[in-house]
Amino acid sequence: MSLLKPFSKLPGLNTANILLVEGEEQFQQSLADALVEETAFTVNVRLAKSLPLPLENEESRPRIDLVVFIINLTSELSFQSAEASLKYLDPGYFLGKVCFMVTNARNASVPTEQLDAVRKLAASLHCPLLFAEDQVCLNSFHEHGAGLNLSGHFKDSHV
Amino acid sequence: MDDSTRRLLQRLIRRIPAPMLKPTLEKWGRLTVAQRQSMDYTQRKWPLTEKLLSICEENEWTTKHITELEMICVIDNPNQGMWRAFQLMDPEDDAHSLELTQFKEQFKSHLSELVRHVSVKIKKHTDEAVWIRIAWGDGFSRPNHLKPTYVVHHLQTSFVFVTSLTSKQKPLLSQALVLSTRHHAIKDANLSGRNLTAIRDLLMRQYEQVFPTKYSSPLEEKNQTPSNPHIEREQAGPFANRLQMACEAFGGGTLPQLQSAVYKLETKFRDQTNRNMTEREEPFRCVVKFESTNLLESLRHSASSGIASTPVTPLLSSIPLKGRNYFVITDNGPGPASQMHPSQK
Repeated sequence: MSLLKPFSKLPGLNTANILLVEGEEQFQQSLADALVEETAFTVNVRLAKSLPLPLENEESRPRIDLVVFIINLTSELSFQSAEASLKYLDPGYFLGKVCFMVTNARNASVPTEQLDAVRKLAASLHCPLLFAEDQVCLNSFHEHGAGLNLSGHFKDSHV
Repeated sequence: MDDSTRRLLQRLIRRIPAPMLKPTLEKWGRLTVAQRQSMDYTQRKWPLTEKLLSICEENEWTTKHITELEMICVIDNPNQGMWRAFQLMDPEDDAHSLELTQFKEQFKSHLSELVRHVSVKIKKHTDEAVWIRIAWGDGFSRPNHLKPTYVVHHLQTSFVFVTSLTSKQKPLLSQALVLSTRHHAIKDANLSGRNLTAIRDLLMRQYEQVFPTKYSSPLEEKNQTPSNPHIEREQAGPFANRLQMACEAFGGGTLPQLQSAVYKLETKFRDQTNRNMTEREEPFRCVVKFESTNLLESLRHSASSGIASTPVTPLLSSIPLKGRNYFVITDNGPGPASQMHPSQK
């Protein structure tokens, strides 16, 4: 089993590497664009559909500091894909290097069981759960006009 | 002026969208300069209709003139109503060199032989399409101009597109078309949709085709590869593969807008857990209907995002491949079902 290990490589100088795992491969693009705008230090973002990650990239891949699982509440597949990917993470990641991000929580068609299931999963692994929406807002902060709306639900903030 | 002509004009003005009213009337060109200047297009439709009706009295327009205007309006705005595609079969030797004037004469004469009172108007559009407007009457009554049938045919191709045709009129139209285009038969192409340009583009493959390539595909540059050096995609290979296979099956770029696909299943019920149903001899009949504002676009996206497995199943890829959106699926193999309806996938 090719586990992704947290400490098997050296960290980069003044750099953070974030891995975004999303079954639908949609929201991760906008989130990545927003994350790399950080100027205080370098943020590298890697996008994946699911784990395990391909072996070919093993050598060139830097040390991953944070793994974010993006789950779309309106899609059952999204949740199942995230659950299946969890087994390919070394347990060392769960000490503060994993977080769950949920999209479309405000959508009326989402059954409450979906959100409860994600909450249970996050709580059982002691990982924070964030809620996000991909919105285009007329915000003067972002020049390209796309904004992200994040609100946190920190159960245990080890981040 | 005839009451029916008035009604026809009223209905027509109601149908034309307000911003299109001025350009359509100018294209028609039957108003004098003075009349054109007296039209105030900022008014609402009701006073404008009244104005046009009075101009109609002045100029003594007949139904013939109004139907001209209707044709212009429909040609400019063809994506209303339900269009069905038909295909002409077994051309004779001289079918490929058919000329417009010959076709026009033949079609009009054949149709008038079949139907006592019929009004036919044929017009050739700039993009090589021949538009035919048919108002049907019968032995006792004059042609009904309120429910015309429109037919679009590209000469020397085998496709015909029809809207508003009743089942009684269908054999008459088929006969006239077959004889005037020098073919032997006409059959239903099993393709229908609201958007005429879309079904025409689909049948004639006038959208971007993507062909399989052996070496690394240029599509990798076109897909959502982030240009930012800080962002990297882990599974770029499979991602590009899925995108390539989806585009090969459905096409690249903008796809023709189909609204639905219908699969009529006449296959045996197959489920391991339900013995009762699987033991039945007769096929389990059901109809599966896919609906969307742009069906091909959604199917392509579901293949490229991995929701539908790739390579794309022939059930879905035969929509663009065979240019049809109505399928009857039967089990392959000997049996009464497959004898009566040969499996058409």
